[in-house]
Amino acid sequence: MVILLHPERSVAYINRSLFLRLALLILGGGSLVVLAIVLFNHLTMRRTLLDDQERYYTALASSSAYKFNLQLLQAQKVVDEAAALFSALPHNKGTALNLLGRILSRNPDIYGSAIALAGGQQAAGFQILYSWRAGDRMQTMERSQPEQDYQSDWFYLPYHLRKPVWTDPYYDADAGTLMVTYSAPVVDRRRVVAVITCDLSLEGLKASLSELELGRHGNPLLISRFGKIILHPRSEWVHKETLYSLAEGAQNAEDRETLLAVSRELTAKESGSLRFRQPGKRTYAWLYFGSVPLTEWKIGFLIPEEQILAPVVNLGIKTVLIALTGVLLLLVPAFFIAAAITKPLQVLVRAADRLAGGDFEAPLPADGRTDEIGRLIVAFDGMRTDLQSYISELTRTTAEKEKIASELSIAREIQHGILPKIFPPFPQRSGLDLYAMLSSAREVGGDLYDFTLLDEDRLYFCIGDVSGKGVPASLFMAVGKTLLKSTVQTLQDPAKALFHVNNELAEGNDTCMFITLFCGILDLRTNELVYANAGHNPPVLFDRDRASFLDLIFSPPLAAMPDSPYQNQRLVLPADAKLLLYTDGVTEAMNPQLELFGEERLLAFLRGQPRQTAEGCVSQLVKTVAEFAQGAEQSDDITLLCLSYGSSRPSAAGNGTSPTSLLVVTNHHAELPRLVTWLEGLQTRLEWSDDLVGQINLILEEWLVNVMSYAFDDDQLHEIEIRLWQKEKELRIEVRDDGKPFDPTTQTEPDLGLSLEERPIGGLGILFIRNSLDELRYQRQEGENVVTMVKRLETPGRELPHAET
Amino acid sequence: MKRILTGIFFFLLSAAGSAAAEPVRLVLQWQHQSQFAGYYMALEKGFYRAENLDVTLIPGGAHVDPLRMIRDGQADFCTTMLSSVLGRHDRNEFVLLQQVLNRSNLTLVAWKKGRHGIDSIAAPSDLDQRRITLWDGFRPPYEAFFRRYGIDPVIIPQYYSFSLFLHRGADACCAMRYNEYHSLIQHGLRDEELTVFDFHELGVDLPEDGLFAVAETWRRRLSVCDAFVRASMKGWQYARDHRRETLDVVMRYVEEARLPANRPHMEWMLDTILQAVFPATDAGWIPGQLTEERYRKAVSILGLEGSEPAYGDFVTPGAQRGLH
Repeated sequence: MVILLHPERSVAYINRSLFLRLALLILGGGSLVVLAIVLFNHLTMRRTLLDDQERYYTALASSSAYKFNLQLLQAQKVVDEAAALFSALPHNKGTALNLLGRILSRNPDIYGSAIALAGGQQAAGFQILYSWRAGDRMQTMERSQPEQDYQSDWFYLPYHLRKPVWTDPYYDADAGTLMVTYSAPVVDRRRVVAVITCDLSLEGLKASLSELELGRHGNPLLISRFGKIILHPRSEWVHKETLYSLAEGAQNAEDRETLLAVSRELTAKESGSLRFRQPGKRTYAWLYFGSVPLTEWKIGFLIPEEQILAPVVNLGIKTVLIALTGVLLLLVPAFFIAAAITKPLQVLVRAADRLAGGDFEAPLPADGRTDEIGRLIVAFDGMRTDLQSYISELTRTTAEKEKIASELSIAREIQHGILPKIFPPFPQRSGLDLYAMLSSAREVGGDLYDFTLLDEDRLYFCIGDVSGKGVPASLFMAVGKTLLKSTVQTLQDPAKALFHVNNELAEGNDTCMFITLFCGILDLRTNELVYANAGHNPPVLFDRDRASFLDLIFSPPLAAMPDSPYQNQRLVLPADAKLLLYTDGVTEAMNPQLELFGEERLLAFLRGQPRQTAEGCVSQLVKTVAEFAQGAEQSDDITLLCLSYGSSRPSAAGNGTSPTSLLVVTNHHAELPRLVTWLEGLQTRLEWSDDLVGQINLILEEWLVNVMSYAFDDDQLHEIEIRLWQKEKELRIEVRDDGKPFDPTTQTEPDLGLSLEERPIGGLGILFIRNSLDELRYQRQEGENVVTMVKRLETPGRELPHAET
Repeated sequence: MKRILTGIFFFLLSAAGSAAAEPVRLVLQWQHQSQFAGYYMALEKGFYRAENLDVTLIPGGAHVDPLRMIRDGQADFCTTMLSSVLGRHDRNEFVLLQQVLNRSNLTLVAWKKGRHGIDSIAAPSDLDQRRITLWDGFRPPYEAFFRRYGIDPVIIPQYYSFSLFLHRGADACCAMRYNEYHSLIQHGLRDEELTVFDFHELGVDLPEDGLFAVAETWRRRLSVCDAFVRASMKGWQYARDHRRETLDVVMRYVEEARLPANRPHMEWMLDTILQAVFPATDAGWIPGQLTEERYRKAVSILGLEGSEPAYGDFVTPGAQRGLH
């Protein structure tokens, strides 16, 4: 019921249920076939019945007409005999009465009979004698209005036509009924001397027609020679209408045409059948008719088509009912068949659902079927078993892979662990700015870099790239790097070290791996760089204006062949110049359009870098390369090492000693939290009071905000360096920036009377800083503002040795 | 109390009114049919009552002689054909109150191919020596017609029906355009089978139905005569303007008299009769009128010159004037 009330829901339900669809399909198909058969049957039966009925009723109408004709003929014969007798007998009342009695007794159909003498026979003693049946008796009278009778058709027509005539029906006042009359003239010496008649009452005719076989099936119809309606189921038309008056009085043109067609057909044919639309109705009727030759009347039977077709319609209804019952009965086997098909499927569906949840133990439908369902069950079972073994296999391999991956990640940590990663690496060497990074394309890579101080003043550094990738390359790199470092420490000469290491590696190098490598030793006192190259990309030397590759003598990579010659080259590293070492992961980085980053782009990038720290250079370059790659996967390890040595920059605050701690921030307000983090780290280390930390934080924040907000006119990134020395009695802080010159010590006291907008830059902040500090100094050095702040400590601070930030 | 008194007053008034209504009997020249539609409607719509007349209609028939009935005092007025009155020897006893049908409806209908279906009839002259059935009462115009075309047919009396003609016992028969002619068509005869001699078209155009009274009545009951004519013509005008309603009333009369007439036939008759009562615009006469000229012409057609009543005596002023 719910389904019936919601059609869209029921459709959805049917769509979801194979069982229902199957059942509906079987039922629907069966119903359609049954319907088609019933329809075909009905139409055929209908046609056949109409044909049969047409033949049957037409024959019946003809035979009825014939019988009717016979009846009239019998009446006619009696009169004809009487006429013949009368002409031979004396024309007197006695003869007439005798004849009338004879006529009525000879034929029971005759209602009455008259003998009318033509004029001028007064001797006969009567004019018109009329006898008729009254119950079982016969009565006779002299007609009351003989003049009128002489003018009536029954006398007038035979008298003038001199032949017998059947009249049209008429109402006779003396008999008090509608009747038709047969009148025969009695001719004597070429004169009509009398007319003898017999009357048949219309009621009697109707009764005798109804006794005929056809009368029991349909409504008898009697039409006179001139279309006058003598008998008709609609008694109000009788004696009043003709076929043509009916047509004339039709309600519409269509009915008129129908009636005229019926009239024409009826007049033209002896017998036949007609199908026509009933005037004023939508239904059809059949008219079967035959002719009565004596009167030229038409005798017909009107039968509505629905009456003829009633048996077919009844049969049709019964057939449909039986078919419906059959279809309903079919529902039971359809249900079972559908259930037999869908039940195992439903079990399979449940099993599949549980399988999806990881349950391999769900029961399957009973085995043993050999049809498609049986095969499906077997296939499902097979699939489940395969899936089970596949999953256990997968679990095992996954565990192995995870193990490898974890080993690889450990290897990566070890590999990265052997690379120096503390920056700035040598804070005691002010002026030395070195930064390096390695980004592996895979878990472990074959790139390497290294640097260390060989003694007080000599810096060793190198960069290299092992052929191949992955674990083998990383092992080879570890060996090469370690070997080279120890060799350089021993030999203190790049070319010799390379020669030595090459031979070491080339020996027994069955894997045919090799390392391209550049290494150098920088003398920090003289800025002299001694370097040697083993097939590696030339490093770039760049400063504010220029960038160029280092001049290199080509030598083969390490481990490629024993006894390869390597030569030292020398160069004095200019102050402010930087040296960038890189591996081919940079120049061969590829974008989705398959373009290489290339050396030109590298040089252009480095030229475009203004004063940057090594770390800034490296991180900017990595960013630039990543942008160029546009998300393309990194195919090779990228390793960068950047260094510069700006001689020994005198430190205004530190008296040449390295600071306790150093913080570099960029000119961005988002960097300020780093200041807090830095100071909190120092508080722990240096055991500062909360007040002190708060004060220093405020001073530095005020100054940094001042610098960030006003010192720089461009959009470039600038670095602000904060160095801090903890002495026994004082705290010394030096802040450097390369912005516009600004001397806080020369600032006048702010006019507190002015409004906020009218006050000069930073006035209040500077006042606060000056008042909070014990000493504030300013210097402009090499395009940089150097501000030194001194804060005396009430409780002696714990002076620490130089420490890394 | 006051209400009762008012009631009694109106009762007396109406009783006095009905007591004062003049009883009038009109005898028709034939059975009920559309031919008398005007009188039915005058009665139906109360036009007679309005003239304070209490009219009774007496239907006619084959054995009813309306003129004898009014002469014998069995009725006050009658309708009958002008020619029927003028053809009688006692014609001077009657006066014409109104000439209702001014156009002739008489026809002679012949089998185009003759009674035997071989010798054709197309012109009046073809009727010579043919068997023709004639109504006894209407012989004068037919005989005038025969005289006019110099024909000498075999005359057979025609009574109620044209059955002898139908049975081809005659070559031609009398037929009123509004009645028998249409009946023939309703009996399945087709126009192309028939030759119709229309007297109106052939110049034997006798005025037909008129309202008559005996001269005595007219002299003594002049106002009643005038009122009766006025109401009757009003009835005809109503019939002209309300044909469907009129036809319903006609059929009621027909059915009550159990006459074998069907509605399409009565409709045809009503339409045809109304054409004879109310002239087309250029007919040269006005309804109800019989001009002296037409009277003379009728007398001439009927061959009664010299023995006819004087126009002024026979045709009352109302009929001389006609309907205004």
